Amino acid sequence: MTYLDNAATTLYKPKSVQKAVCAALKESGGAGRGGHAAALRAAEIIYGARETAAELFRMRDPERVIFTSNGTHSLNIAIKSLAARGGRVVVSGFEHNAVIRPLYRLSQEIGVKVDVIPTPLFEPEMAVSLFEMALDGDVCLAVCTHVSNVFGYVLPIERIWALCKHRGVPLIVDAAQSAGVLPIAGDSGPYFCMPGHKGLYGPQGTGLLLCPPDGLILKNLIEGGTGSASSDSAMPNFYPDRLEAGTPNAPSIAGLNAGMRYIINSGIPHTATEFDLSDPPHRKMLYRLHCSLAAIWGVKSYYTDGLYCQSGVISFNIEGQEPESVAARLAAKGIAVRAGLHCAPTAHKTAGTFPGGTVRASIGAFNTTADIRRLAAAVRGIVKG
Amino acid sequence: MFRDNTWAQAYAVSCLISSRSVTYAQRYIQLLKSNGIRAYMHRLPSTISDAGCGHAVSVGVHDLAHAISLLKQNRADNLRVWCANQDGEYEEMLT
Repeated sequence: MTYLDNAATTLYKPKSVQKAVCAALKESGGAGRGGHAAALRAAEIIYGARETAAELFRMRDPERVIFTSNGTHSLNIAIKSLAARGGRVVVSGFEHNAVIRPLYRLSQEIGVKVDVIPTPLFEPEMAVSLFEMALDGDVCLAVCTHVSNVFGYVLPIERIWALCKHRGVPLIVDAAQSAGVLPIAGDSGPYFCMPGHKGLYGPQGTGLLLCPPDGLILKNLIEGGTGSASSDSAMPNFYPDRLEAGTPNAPSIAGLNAGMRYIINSGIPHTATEFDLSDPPHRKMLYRLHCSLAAIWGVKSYYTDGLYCQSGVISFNIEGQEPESVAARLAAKGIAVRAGLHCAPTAHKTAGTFPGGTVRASIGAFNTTADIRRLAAAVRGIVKG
Repeated sequence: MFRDNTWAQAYAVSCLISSRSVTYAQRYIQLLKSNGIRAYMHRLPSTISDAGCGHAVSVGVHDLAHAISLLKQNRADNLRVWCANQDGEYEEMLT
């Protein structure tokens, strides 16, 4: 299969991930739930993953790395902790439903007002200006995706955070598409929410929430055992226990650790100093894909030449054809892409591709230029009928 | 009554440094091991735990003062330390 749906989940993982999961399945007890060897081994595995995450995301304290079920879980914790009753929350025009739906619920239950800022596609300067205008008096929270899951648009989160910090507004960054792909500084101030199964190459069912050193203590969505302070009926008030009730998923976290270690060892940039702005990961392949698609009559691809402005995701449409039917025909040819609204109707409304949506191809570490050629040839075949 | 390091050197056979949770115990162990101190994780005995389930790090008596100093330098708050005498009875130490 030619797999170009890495923005949904990375299907092909490093072998070290499989090995780590299998080993942990055999040797993990309940982390923090006993003093025997299997429980201690599980605790070691999980702490090792926390340390790797702290290294990858340049955090001083591994205990501020919270393991969750997925990126959506992380976003729910952060959003429901930081959005104040009756307050205003500003979000970019490219948010996923993992942001929009929790905020909608809060708007129904506690009167949160949500402002979607119409940040135009591939215009980071405009995004900064619009955020600056929107961050006025009663704003209690800002949420911004780092990379649009539909268009690969990299939003200028460092500059948006500078504005938020100046106004005393917390910022949540949805790093679903950037974790493992772009540099992220977990101690820089925002709350970073991310899945483990995309650019970090971990198993599904894993996610991370990176809490900043001087941030507010987030609220737990669920209560339960933590293996600590058990005589207290209230949840612990310290990380990570506060946000990690219940037995942790040690085998999957072991796999996530191996995935993050793969990122660190494979030379994919994870610090700003290593990051060459003229050559982000996947950039050459993305350019090649765009050129191949744009050369086909009737195909519109959403691409920008702007440096550091698009990650390894590209959307396209074929004139007169439904995205879903294009994706189905590609699937029949053994090519996996995703079509429709990508759980991000807000992004499509902002970019003018609502309600039909687009076809999305997303590149991962195991794709080759042959995959790009195969997709382009298949699209050409669909256009020719 | 809290005991001091002189008492520990004379009478104690093992020492436990309590931690908030298993995560903190792991952090302490990594820190101590990277500074050449042998450290192991234990569940906190119920006889000395006043908060239910808890975790502790055991270190040798001769490493105790150095271990506490290292932990304090690295943002380990609210440390509590117990040392066991030859009868297995724990005495809480001054930190």
